[in-house]
Amino acid sequence: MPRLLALMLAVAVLIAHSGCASRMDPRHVRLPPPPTEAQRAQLGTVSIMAGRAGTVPIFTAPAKGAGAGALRGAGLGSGLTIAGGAVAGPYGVLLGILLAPVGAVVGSVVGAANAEPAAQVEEKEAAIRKTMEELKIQETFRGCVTSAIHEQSPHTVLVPPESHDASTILEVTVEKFGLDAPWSIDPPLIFVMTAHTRLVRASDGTEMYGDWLSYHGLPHPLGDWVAEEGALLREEAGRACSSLAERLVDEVFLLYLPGAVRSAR
Amino acid sequence: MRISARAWVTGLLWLALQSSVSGCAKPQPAAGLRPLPLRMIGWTRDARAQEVDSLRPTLRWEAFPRPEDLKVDIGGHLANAREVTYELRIWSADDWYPVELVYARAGLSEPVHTLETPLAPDTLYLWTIRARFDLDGQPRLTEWASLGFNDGRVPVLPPSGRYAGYYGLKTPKQ
Repeated sequence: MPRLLALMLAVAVLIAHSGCASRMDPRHVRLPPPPTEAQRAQLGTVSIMAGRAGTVPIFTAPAKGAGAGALRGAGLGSGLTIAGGAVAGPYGVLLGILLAPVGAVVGSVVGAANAEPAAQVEEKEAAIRKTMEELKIQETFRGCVTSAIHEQSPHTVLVPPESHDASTILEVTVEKFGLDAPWSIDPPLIFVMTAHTRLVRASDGTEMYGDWLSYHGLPHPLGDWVAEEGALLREEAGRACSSLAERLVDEVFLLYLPGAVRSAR
Repeated sequence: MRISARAWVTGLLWLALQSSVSGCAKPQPAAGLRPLPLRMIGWTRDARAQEVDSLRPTLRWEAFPRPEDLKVDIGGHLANAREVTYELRIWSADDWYPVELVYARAGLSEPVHTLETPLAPDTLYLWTIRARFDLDGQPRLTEWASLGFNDGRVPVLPPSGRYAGYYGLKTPKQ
């Protein structure tokens, strides 16, 4: 049985490295169809409101101190040893597994040496979280959506929520935003933001459309995000706000799909 | 908890098979208007981007509405589409991810455009187009043209999940 498994593993690894493997990692990312023309014809006056869900701030911190760095390094070192062995073929995988403890030891030493002191990481984390609070992302995003509607869809009649005069509620909620990173010792961090949109009929609360849109920025080291009182974080949040708002308005008010089925995206 | 050697091998087998299955899929036009062939001098080494012969290439794409759009337009709204124009966007690219919008045009009356300003030499760009039209007095858009897989998936770059589905274009060295 172990021989059969090893043979199957060898075949799989050979296929994986036969040249057809690409760097792209296809994942399921589908959007629902936009509102129909019939639904759009019934929108009437629209109010933009915040959803009930709160925002989950994201901050994937690097390893805090030598101890945490050593632990992460050990995990990465053993994993990379096995993965490195897989490149060499089926026997390489087995060798990689055997050498994984050595990789773990080397990784732990590297991790401990490269991790920032815990106090420094915590100080930067506090600065990031303070900037994220100051951004008031929910209100800011509603502002971005309002501007985008004025600019891209001027035929849409917006009324203030307090007027209670809307036929349709456009509910926009920033559900997640912050800095995310792969699990590593001191990885570069990526600005991420996910907004949930619902189009709800005011008279009976029926949801006509619901969707999530996400923004992913470019990776930067933690120090860059903190520098100049979080200037890069503020800049990227502004870019994400306008980009997501533009896409949201396109989807809800402007996009026309001739067919009933959406092919991709 | 002790993990048996068999469990390790089975797990690795699964990972390798996942890698092999997902890696073999090649993206193809999946949404929006399709670009038409460019004047080019070849393909990039990974065969994913056309290498054009000019820093001010002429980009062409399908005209809207296409016969296939009219065919699937169940509501028949496209018969009322008026004032069709096109929007073009070109980004600088970092590993197939759009980084900075370097060129944008809207209100193009024909499905062809020669860039008015030159791009940087020997550089990979990503580009896309969409149609904007008037439907019963209101503006409407098509999807941005993008690549995907024939089962509806779109290509993204690990580990961030960043979208990487626009068309590639590489400028010549000079």
